[in-house]
Amino acid sequence: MTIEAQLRNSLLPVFGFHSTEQIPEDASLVNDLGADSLDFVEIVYLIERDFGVVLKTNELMVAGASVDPDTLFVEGRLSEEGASMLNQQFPDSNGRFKAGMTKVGFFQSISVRDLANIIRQRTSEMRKPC
Amino acid sequence: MKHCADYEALLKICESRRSTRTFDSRPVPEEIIERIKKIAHTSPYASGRKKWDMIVVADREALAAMRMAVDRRTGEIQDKIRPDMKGSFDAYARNFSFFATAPAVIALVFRAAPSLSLMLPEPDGGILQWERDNYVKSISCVAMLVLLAAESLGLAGCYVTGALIAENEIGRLIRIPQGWSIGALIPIGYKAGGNNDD
Repeated sequence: MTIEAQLRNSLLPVFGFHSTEQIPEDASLVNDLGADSLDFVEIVYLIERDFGVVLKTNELMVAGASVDPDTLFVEGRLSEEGASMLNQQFPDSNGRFKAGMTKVGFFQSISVRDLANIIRQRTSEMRKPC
Repeated sequence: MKHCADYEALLKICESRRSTRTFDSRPVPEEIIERIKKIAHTSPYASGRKKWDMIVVADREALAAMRMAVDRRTGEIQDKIRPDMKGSFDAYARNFSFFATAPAVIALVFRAAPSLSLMLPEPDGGILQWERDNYVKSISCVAMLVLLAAESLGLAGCYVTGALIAENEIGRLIRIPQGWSIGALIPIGYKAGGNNDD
């Protein structure tokens, strides 16, 4: 099973859906699926439970990279450098992360596929030999 | 004095509402159910989390299956009741399955979504209970609005929780989402022999 498929399955009860078909990979967790801020606490928990990947909620903002999220935002807005880094971190972003984006706007744009990419990245890092 | 008129109208609806357990066979139009749901959706909810929904069941076969599930569970419990309490239990359980005689039943469903409990390093039973209670309180507000909305539209209903002794089976029959619970069943219809549809 792909990470995307497994993640969509894990998210079913969070959104009260019966089928993973109701959770398209390109769906925004906030705008399309209706996630609220506390849902992200549970989503982070589910990722740890089902994938063994420990994430902090604010690490989602840096796509799982080892960067302090606060360095990407200047006065609450995404910097040019931050936008560039995020677009690299999220391979399917199509340049959607733009300078000036707010943290709220960022969370609204995170898709199921983005989340799966973060998990994939973290999982491959965990497998690297020390 | 518009506000006074609003108050009087609401008071009239609240005072005229009664728990109704017998309905005539007239179906409740879908449009009326939608109007009830519209009011219910204005309900407040705890922790800013709207983790509830309404499932409307009007299919006679589905309602019959729900009733059978409740009767079966009632029978199972009845077998365990102390002999000196059987009469009391029978009287108590009498109203567990009447809901299935209504033309429509609105099942209020919710999910006790974890949040604070996940922020703690160890499970805390008290916090888990508090979280669940929050969602039960939210669904109770929804239930009251459903009942008042029905009353305002000339219908009647009843707040049913006794049937939930068979919650698991009912949940399976009405296909509630995985991990969700049923907070109450609200049978809705026109009062039997009444003239409350004009």
